[in-house]
Amino acid sequence: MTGNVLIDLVISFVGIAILVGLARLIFPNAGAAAFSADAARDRLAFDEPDFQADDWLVDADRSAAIAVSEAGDIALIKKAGDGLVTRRMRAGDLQCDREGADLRLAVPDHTFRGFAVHAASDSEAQRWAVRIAGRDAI
Amino acid sequence: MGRAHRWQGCYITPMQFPDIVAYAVPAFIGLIILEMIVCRLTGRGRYETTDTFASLAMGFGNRLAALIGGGALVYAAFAWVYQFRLIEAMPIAWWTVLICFIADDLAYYWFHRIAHERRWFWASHVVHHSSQHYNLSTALRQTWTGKFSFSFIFGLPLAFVGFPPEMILFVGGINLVYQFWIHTELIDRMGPFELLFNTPSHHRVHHATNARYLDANYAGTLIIWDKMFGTFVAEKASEKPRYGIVKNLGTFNPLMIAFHEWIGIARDLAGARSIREVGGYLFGPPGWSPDGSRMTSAMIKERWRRVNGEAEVTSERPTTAAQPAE
Repeated sequence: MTGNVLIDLVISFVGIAILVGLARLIFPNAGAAAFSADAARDRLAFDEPDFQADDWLVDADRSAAIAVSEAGDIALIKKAGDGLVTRRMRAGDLQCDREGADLRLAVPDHTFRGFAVHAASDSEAQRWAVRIAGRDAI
Repeated sequence: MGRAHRWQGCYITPMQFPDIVAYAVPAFIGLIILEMIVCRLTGRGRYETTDTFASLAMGFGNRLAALIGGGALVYAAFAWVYQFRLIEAMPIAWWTVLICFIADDLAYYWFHRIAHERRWFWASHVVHHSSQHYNLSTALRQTWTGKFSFSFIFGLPLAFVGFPPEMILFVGGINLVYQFWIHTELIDRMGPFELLFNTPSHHRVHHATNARYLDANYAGTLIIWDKMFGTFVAEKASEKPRYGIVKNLGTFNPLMIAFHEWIGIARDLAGARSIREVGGYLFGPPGWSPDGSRMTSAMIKERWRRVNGEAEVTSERPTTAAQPAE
């Protein structure tokens, strides 16, 4: 490795630090943009235009939402940086753990991990857990 | 290699082709800072800290990958093919560099197109498309695995013709540097310049995930290749590009960005039940699956037509083959 290469790498490394710092300084709130139901609906409509949402569970605090279609498909929407990311699954493909009003989903996708959403009540969470599991409503 | 070449009457060594990308790094940094400031002042374009970090980390890793063996591998491949060259003593002159640049740009078009159409090459190239942002830092979001997955094979015909490996790498560097500035939302349309050259507008279309814009504008420097081969799509003022990939990543971890598609391939191969499935998972279009349960870009376009009731997605010539998702 020559001296020039090392200098190039050092400049690059310092450049990264400066640029990330400046991005933080110049756009301090870029990643903190509010997650909204409208934004989730808009993103889902763009990513999955044939997904006809029948019911929604939106958790603004955790920046996550779940939609279910009449056909039984599940759409997960969550915030990543200042963007939203969606995944469409079949009911039953997701493992859902419920603790009170909290739902934690194990998504079989290594690029979309750690999905959690908070329902308004324990009973609503229970209802959603059943739908996500792909079972008929109790 | 190491032998001298004739350059307009005098002899030079191959070392006189500079590493133009290394020289451009300070300019990249300066222009990104300038773009950030202009974005902030005008409200056009945006940066987000984690996304910016991820993009720059990928660029840094790309340079490291070249240093730890990727660059040597590429050079060795070019040098090996160069032994069998058709033109024994290619003159080293401005006009041969120009011809080499144009030929390399054509080779780049086909590399880039196939990188979108075949999952093996897409697994590396997807990195560059994995940001939902489109700014100058996105230009630096580059693959770590491209050289090791033989993406350089598209340039080998140039060495076979007789262009020295150093010249091919040099013009490839120019092409890469040219493509930096087109990753911006700050520059709108560019009039007659757009007829010949790749521009921010053309490349915004390439990075868009809107069904109308998928599979378009693979050009490096000259947009003429897309117009020749029927993959050109103009940006429509009425449809703002939305950037990223069809299944955007829910992570900014550079390791996951670099390897996520390779992990996906490995998982698919582990579950493959036939040679056909192995071939499809490796070299089929991104999104290919044996049962059609996943979406290729051709399927996404078809769905878009169905949902929107439009007969044709692209504004130019329609694509016909199953093509990539991003």
